[in-house]
Amino acid sequence: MKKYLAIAKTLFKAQIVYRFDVLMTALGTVWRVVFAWILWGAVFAAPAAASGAAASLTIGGFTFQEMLGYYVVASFLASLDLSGGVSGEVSTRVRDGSFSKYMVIPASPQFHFLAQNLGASAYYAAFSVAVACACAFFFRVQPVHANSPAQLLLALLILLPGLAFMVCYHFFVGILAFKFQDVGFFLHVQGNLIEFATGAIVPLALLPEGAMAVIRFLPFPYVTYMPAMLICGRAGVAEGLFGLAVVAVWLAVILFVNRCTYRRLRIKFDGVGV
Amino acid sequence: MDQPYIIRTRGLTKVFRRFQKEPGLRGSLKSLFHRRFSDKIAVDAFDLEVKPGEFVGLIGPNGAGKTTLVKMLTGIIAPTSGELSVLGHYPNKLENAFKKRYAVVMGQKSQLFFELTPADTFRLFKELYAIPDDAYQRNVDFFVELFDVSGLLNVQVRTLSLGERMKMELICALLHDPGVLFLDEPTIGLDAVAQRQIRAFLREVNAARGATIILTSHYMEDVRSLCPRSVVINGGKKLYDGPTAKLFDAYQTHRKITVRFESEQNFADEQGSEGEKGSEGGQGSEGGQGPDHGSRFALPAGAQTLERGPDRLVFMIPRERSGAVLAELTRRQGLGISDIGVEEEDIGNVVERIYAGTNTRAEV
Ligand SMILES: Nc1ncnc2c1ncn2[C@@H]1O[C@H](COP(=O)(O)OP(=O)(O)OP(=O)(O)O)[C@@H](O)[C@H]1O
Ligand SMILES: [Mg+2]
Repeated sequence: MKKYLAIAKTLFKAQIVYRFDVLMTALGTVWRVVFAWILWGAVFAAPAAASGAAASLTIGGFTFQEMLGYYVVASFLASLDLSGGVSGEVSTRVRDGSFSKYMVIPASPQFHFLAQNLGASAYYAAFSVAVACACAFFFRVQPVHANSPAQLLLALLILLPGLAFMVCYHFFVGILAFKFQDVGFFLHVQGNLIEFATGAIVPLALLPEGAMAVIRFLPFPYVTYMPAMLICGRAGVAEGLFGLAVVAVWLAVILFVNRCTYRRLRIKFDGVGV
Repeated sequence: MDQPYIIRTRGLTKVFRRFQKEPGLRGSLKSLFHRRFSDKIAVDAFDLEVKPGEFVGLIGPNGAGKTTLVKMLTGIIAPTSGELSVLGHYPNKLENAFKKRYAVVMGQKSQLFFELTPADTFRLFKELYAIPDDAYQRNVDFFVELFDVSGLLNVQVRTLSLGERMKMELICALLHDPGVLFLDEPTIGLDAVAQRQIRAFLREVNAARGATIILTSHYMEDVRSLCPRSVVINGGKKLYDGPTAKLFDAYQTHRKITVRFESEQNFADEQGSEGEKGSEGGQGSEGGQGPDHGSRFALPAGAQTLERGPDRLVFMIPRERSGAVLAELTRRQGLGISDIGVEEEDIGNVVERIYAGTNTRAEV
């Protein structure tokens, strides 16, 4: 384990170089909140004008301010999920042959990417907290509504395996390139679906019952949605524990699946390139 | 652990399947279901045995299968068939215990992380390979001193020049004192100084540290000065395996001589017209071919022109005649020769000759 800690630490340090990337990510967070402000501002404004009761209007149980609060927290959490690039990087490396560099060092490529990613996430976390606070202040929302420390603790506990799951999931998509020549289109489609299923686009509470019943057992909502709901005081400890269990099971499953898949598929690697 | 051979292959073969796709989206969709392949035998029934401490040069022309062989020996790709054992392991199992005992450096690929500094990378490798503190420090100090790169340890790898990066790659590869080192064209594109430094480094690693080294290179000097043993490969097959000295003796039969003149020359008719390989009519009008050979340069007997420029002539001459030819050239001052260079023949010719199964002076 020590070596993976070293990878995470090294990547944490390396992020300092990417000042521009970090800045862009921060701007991304701000943009999501602004986007929500415009979108939900309009949504809330229309019926409010009709009924004349603006302040008390709720959609899906959220007032306008609470909705913004959710977006601040969810955007912050989403900015920690840096896994999106993993599938692209892995598949590119497999196809151009440079994946070999992960095959000759004594570390499992999956854990290597995991450590690398979480190390970078830790760095973004420090930075994004500041941005989230600034957003909360600017839009005058109070995002943290958790009424017990257990909820906050659970949010953290879910976040870690959640982020890990996302990296592993993307690693899985990436190593499919060992078998399939073009995974680009697939990458694109699954990227959109996941962003939706994680609740980063729309709070999942707004989805119809039937859809929720399925999504409940998928890991994606627990990466950012559940922790965000916990922090906003919208989800209770029981829901949190359920989420933790789902994420933990999925993480174990994907780790195992990746291990088997990698072993099977890497045999096909023809290490193109000079 | 005390096996007589550190590397042993029997009938090692790699067949690549090249995937062929029709152009366009339709072609892509179609190829999802109906794939068409063509086979390419990159390494063909290769037998190789290497003993601990050997320094083996692997030579062959482009596309010979050298890199493919190295990829199989390091486990990056799986052989199609044949037996293979390196340090008692089957490389493609990719066991950590195996990976900790070898290192591979490919001139065209990087093992380093471009965003990190070399110093960070070294420390990361220390953890990855669980290198003890003292051994780590000793190695870093030693190699950094040897390559004189202490000033570059704290800059991002991506900002290093090719030669600087290659030195870092080599240091990185050697930190864990590997028993076997695979090098695929480590000196490609480097200047003479860096090449010399790297040769000194490799000599040290092999002699003082006892590492077994497999080296591929297109630079004859690398192989000649480093590897007592050479293996020549062409078309995936082994053509020669034996002492390097003997290889060069038997097959490197010619020398390449470059003559520069002080002024533009109107070269006299070459003696004979045999084997003018590279002369694409470089000298358009070969007008005045008078009989006065006295002050005009004439190609020595048995020479083959390779290149002709206005003030330059490159030709090949059988090795044992090179002394006499040089003496003749230096003796005749009237020719206005400003410079004479003598080089070794390159590997292509050597391989061709081995392939033809002849070491006679027969012109090809
Ligand atoms: N992944 C691959 N798929 C299909 N064919 C391949 C693949 N890799 C190599 N080849 C083919 O196998 C042959 C051997 O290639 P290899 O890279 O081993 O040559 P090499 O001896 O290293 O040559 P060079 O001196 O140019 O580096 C070449 O003809 C090449 O086209
Ligand atoms: Mg090669």
